[in-house]
Amino acid sequence: MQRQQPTAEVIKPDLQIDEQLLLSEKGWVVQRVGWFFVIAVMIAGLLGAFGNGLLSKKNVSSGNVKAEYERFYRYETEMKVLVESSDHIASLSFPQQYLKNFRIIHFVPEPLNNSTANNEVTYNFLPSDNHVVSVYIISETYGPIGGTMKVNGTDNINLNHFIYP
Amino acid sequence: MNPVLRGIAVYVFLMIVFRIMGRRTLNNTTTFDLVLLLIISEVTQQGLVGEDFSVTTAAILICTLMGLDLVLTLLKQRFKSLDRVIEGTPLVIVDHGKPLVKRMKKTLLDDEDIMEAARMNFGFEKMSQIKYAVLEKDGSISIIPFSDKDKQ
Repeated sequence: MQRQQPTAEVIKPDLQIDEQLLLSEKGWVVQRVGWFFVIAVMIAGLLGAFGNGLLSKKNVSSGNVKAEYERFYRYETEMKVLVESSDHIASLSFPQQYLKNFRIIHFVPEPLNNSTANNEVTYNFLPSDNHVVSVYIISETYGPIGGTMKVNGTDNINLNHFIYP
Repeated sequence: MNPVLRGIAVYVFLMIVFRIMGRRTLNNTTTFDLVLLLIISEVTQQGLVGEDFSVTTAAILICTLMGLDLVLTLLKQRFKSLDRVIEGTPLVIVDHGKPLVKRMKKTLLDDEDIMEAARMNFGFEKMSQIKYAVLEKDGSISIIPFSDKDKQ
C-alpha cells in the first residue's frame, strides 16, 4: 500500500520535537468537519430545533379549539402550552402519565379547582367567558413525551414533545 | 440528571469543542477572547449545576471533573498516541526565517501572529531573524533564534 504523503511543507528541523505532520493533517480535516458541526448546531438552534423557533412551534386544532406548543424543548426549562377556543374553556384535562414528566408552574387564568378521574387530571375554570388558557410547565424528564389534552372533555389535542437533556 | 453524568457530558463536550476549534482559538489573544471565555464558563456552570446549589453537588462535580482529568492524564501517559490525538502535536511554522505558509493557513496563523511572539520574547524586528517558530500544543508560539554557531 502506498504511504500517504503530507500536503503541507515537509521539513526536517534539527529540533527535538514530536512533530506528527500526517496526524496534524488528519486533525485539520476533523477540525473542518467540527466547524461545520458547530455552525450547523448554531443554525439549527436559530431555527428552533432545540425549542423557541420555527421548527419547534407546533399548532394543532380540534373542532373550535386551537393549541400552540413546543415540539422540541430542553430539560428543566419552562415552556408554554397555549389553548384558544371560540367557545368558553371550562376545563382542561391531562393524562397523569403525561403530567408525570412535567411540573405545572401555573395557569393563566388560574383554575378554580382540579379533580382526578380515569387516570386524568382535570382543571376546571370559572364558568364565565374564557377563551384563552396558557399553561406553563417545566419538563422533569427528557426524551420523547406525549399525551392527549382534552378541552371541555370533548376536543382532543395531541401534545408530542421531544425534550433534550 | 445525575450530577456525575452532567459533569462527564460537559467535560467531554468541552474537550471536543475546544479541540475542533483549534489551538489558537480563545488562547487569551485578545481582551474579547478573555471575555468570551468568561461567558463560556458562566454558561457551563449553569449547565453543570442546574437549579441545585448544594455543597454536596458542588463537591460531586469537582470530584467528577478532577477525576476525569486524572484518568485522562493517566491514559495519555500510558498511550502516547491518545495524547497526540487529544492534545495534538507541536508544529513547526517557520523554518530558517521562511514561513511555512500551508501549515500556517491550516492552523489559522498569519505572519503577524509569529512576529508578535518574536517581538515579545526576543525583540526581533524581522522574520529572517527567526530560526524556528513552533506552534505548541497549548496554542502558544515558541521562537527559536539563530545561534552564534548558525551565524558563522
